Amino acid sequence: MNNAVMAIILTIGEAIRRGTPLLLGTTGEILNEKSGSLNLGVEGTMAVGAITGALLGLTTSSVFLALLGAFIGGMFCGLIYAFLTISLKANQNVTGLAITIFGSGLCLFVGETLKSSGKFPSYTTSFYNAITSGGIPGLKDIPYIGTLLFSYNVLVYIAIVIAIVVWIYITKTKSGLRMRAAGENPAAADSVGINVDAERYKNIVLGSGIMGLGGVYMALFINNGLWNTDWIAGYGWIAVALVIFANWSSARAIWGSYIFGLLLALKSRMPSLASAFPSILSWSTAIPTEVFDALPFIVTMLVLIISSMRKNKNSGCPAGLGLNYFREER
Amino acid sequence: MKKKITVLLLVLVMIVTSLGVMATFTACNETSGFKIGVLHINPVSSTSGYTYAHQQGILYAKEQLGLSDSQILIKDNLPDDQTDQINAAIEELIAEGCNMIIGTSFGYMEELQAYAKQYPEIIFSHGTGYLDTFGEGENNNMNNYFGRIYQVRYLSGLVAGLTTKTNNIGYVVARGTDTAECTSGVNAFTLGVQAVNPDAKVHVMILNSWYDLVNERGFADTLIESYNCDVVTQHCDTEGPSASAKEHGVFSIGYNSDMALAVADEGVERDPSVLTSVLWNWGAYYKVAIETAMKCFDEEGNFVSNEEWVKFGNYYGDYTNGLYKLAPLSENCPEGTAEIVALVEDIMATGTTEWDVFTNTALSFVKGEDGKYTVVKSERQLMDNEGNAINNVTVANITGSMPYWVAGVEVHNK
Repeated sequence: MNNAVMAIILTIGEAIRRGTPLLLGTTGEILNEKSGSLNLGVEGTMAVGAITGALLGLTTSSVFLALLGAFIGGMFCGLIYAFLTISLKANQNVTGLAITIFGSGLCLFVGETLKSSGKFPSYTTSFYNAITSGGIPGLKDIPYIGTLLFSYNVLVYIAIVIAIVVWIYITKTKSGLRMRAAGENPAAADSVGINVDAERYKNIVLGSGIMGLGGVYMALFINNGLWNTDWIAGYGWIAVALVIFANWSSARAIWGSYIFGLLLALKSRMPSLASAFPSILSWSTAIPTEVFDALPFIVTMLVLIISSMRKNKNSGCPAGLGLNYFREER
Repeated sequence: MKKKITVLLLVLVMIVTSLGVMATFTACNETSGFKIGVLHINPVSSTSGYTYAHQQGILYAKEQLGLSDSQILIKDNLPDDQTDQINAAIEELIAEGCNMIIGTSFGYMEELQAYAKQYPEIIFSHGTGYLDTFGEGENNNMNNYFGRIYQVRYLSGLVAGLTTKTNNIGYVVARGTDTAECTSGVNAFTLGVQAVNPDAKVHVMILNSWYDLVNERGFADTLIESYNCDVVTQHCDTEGPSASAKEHGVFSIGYNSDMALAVADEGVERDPSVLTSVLWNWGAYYKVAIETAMKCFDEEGNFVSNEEWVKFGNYYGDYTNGLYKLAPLSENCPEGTAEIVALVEDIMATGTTEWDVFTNTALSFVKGEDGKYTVVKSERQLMDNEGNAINNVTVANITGSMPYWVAGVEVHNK
């Protein structure tokens, strides 16, 4: 029985660990989209955040500087995106894809260059302990509950706090109302004196910074700070779809991300569940692991198909999403 | 005005690019002599893992044979399931005048064979495959090479069996019963474990991929957390399993490159959580292979005959060739480990005719009153984990088809 409970708790734990970068990416993308920009550069923005954050963290052995570096790296990508789409009125989709290619390429270039010349930093013991042995002291030793709720690294909790704060900001505050107006109907917002360009700039840069945090999570907490040519591994794209799944609400994105985290975790955790519940889950050992690899992307497709079929009034999708605002064409 | 500047810039870009292309062409034509093309699956810059081990071997051969940089052309980061990319890479190597083409990954096999048929005056060598093209008339220019790596797996099994306290050992493996390279490794490892620790179980999780840092780590997490494993080993390409073991405060055994270096903290030379690693020394093969291939060409690099290559044939190296070894043991290995490993190494150094891992003779080790260990040989019947007897394991089984796991292996996924 204990084994069975533990297998479930460990699976949920893995789902939360895998879901956290998705949550950060999704929250960042919601800020982008709510203010009217369909930023497809999540994958690239996360990659830049990953490389800047990981390098800064590994060289200084400070988790705080790693997060700060990732945030700034993400903001840098957001700034490029905002400048191209808002100031130069470039096509949002194309610019987003360009950011993805640029960011992934930059991360690969810097990482490979350092790695091949033997200069990629390895972690110090203290930094390694800081990124691996997470959890709230005292509380995490409570049997079961401690493992389930209090045993995660610091960024897991930060991600939840960010998602809730962003939800409050968007739905409950005046400045959130202004940014939503800029996303729903920029011309109307402009006519009541809201600076549409400034609203969009602000939220793109802030949202991209949050995506950068998701990137450094992939680098340090998922890949243990070891160089991998594909640190982000498609999580950025899942985040784009998760925005739709979460109906543009970062509060809903919390459990949405964990569901996708569970899909990602099943590949490694399903066997332990099958051993714990042999009578009901033994069939799962016959499933080839490739099916688990494909699962998150299959579900992503299903989400997109279902949400496009079902157009209801409660959709959180901003009306002005993906459209550049030309003040002169009002 | 703007248009003019744009046109001017475009023309400039075109001139610069074409100059660059011309420069590479002239560079190619200037060097003559023997040229080797190498296909790698991962980036050649990697500092650990599969491609790293092969590239080290190529560099060793280059140094030993006194070849220059321009004689070795590398195509890396080449996925081994993308036929068109592989074909393009091989064609480029041929166009650049390679006399010998080496493919280091399993999936290049069919493409290499097709080109070998088309270009009888180029020598092809393919690692880890099974296509035996010798004896098919004109197609005598491609061999395959591999080694009895299962011998070192057995040695690493001894280390794991001696170290484990929970008697649960985890094994993250790239592929299942369809790939004899993997099953022979797991089986040899398990027999090694059982030689010193008959009660220990080997828990296997199949990755269905050769390179997947995130899941290699995730699988090791599961093996440690859910199956109570205190030693994990791997047959895959990244340091993921070793990183996971280190994080959980248990032990690991690496593969392909020395994982004690890969997961070490800054300022620490070898991480003590890595008990040892199973290491290839591909240089041993590449040196003799390139040397032999060079005999098929004259000094200008013109093809003479492939007689020497046919004589060389397929390569299946063993312990006596120095094709592989165990990395230095960690301080966490219990007393007597090094001694027991050395005893088996001595047996392996005499070749595979006397004793081999899959024969019906089991080894065990007895500590004498003087504190020294001696080897005791005894008869046994090899069994698979479904209770069937295994008889007459041949080289053909080990390289081609070994669709079973030996008793003591517990497989947790498919």
